[in-house]
Amino acid sequence: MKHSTLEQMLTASKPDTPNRSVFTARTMEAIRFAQANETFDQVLRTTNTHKKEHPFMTLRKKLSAYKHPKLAYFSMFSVIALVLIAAVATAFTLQHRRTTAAPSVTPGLGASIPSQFTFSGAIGWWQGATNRTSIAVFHGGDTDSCFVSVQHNTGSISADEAKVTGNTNTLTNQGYAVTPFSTKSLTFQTTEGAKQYQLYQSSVTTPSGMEKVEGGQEFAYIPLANGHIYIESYCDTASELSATIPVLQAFRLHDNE
Amino acid sequence: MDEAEIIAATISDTDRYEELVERYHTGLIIHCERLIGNRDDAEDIAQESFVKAYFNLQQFDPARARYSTWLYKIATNLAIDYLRSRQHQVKVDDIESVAELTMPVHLEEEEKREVREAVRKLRPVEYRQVIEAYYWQGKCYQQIADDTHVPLNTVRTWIRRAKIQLKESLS
Repeated sequence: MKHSTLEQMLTASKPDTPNRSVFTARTMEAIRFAQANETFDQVLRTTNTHKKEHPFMTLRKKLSAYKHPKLAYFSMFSVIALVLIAAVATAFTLQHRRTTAAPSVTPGLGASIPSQFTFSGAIGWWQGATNRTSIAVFHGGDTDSCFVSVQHNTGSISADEAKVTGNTNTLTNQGYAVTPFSTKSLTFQTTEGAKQYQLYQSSVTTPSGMEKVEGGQEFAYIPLANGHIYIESYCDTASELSATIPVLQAFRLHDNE
Repeated sequence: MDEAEIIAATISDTDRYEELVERYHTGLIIHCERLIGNRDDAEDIAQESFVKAYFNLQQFDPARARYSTWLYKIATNLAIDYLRSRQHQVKVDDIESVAELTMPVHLEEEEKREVREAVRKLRPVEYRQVIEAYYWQGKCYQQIADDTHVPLNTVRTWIRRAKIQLKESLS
């Protein structure tokens, strides 16, 4: 016991209880459903996540059928219908853009979302998946060339710190040419006031024959008393990273009270 | 009942697996949350881990590892896949060093009693309630805040202070 962390001791000491949690009930329901629907289970097991999707949208989408198996088939048809609607809407929007002179600007939606993070908006950027502890914004052009994600994590900063410092080494080891080209000192408005932090920017060159990764990447973390903020941005090219600076300054972390 | 007995019974009776899910899910969710930093997705990964472990139970060898250790390793691998799917350049060694801090440990009954007693003695009583809710009932901070009608940050503060008390009483 001496070598265990407090968290390990607490979880290992969980008393047995005759009551079953909602999580347990849903998990068992998912197992029974998967047993009875082997074909559909195989579909669920295939990984098909979009590389720029926010975490709130990835596994949740894939596993929604596990959580609510009875709705699974309905969900599949709903997704197909939504894709069709989105395609029509996109076509309409593109047509509309061609016929209007004003640039297309979608303001941030933070004020209307019950989130700890708010995004006051930046020209040409739109707010994507948002939940209580994370927020993602995308470049609003037709190419969707940049993506910024900000997360408020309550755990230790060590994992995210390792990602910040280890990212260059990992890419280099895989054969990518990584060139750190700038470290910017920025300020983030947090629940503890304005916090200064360092944003590490790098350009990445993909060798021929390898899977293309974003040419511009930047990372940062901001220690807080109750956890930390982790920031990551990706752009198709390193020169586009400059566009993320006003975006990062448009975020704010506040008490959800 | 012992893990091995439950697993043996599960082979012929799916419902028995429920005991393992109930026993380990809170710790597993916390483990995933520490790795990916997102509670909602941590619950998804934990659930997928239980499902995957169930369908691979025949491959599990109790002579080589405890079920809980095996389950947590499945979850760790799923968390790495998750981070990679989001374009994180994952360094497996780094993830595993973080994972090590929340991997399951085996405590003797006497040791469990000691921890439970320390939790029971936490004062004020709110400290005990939040520790039980988070570590034993599997509630996230927001759920606890909703249940206790206090701000989220108050819950965080209570848990942090409760852990300081626990460290002192268990040291």
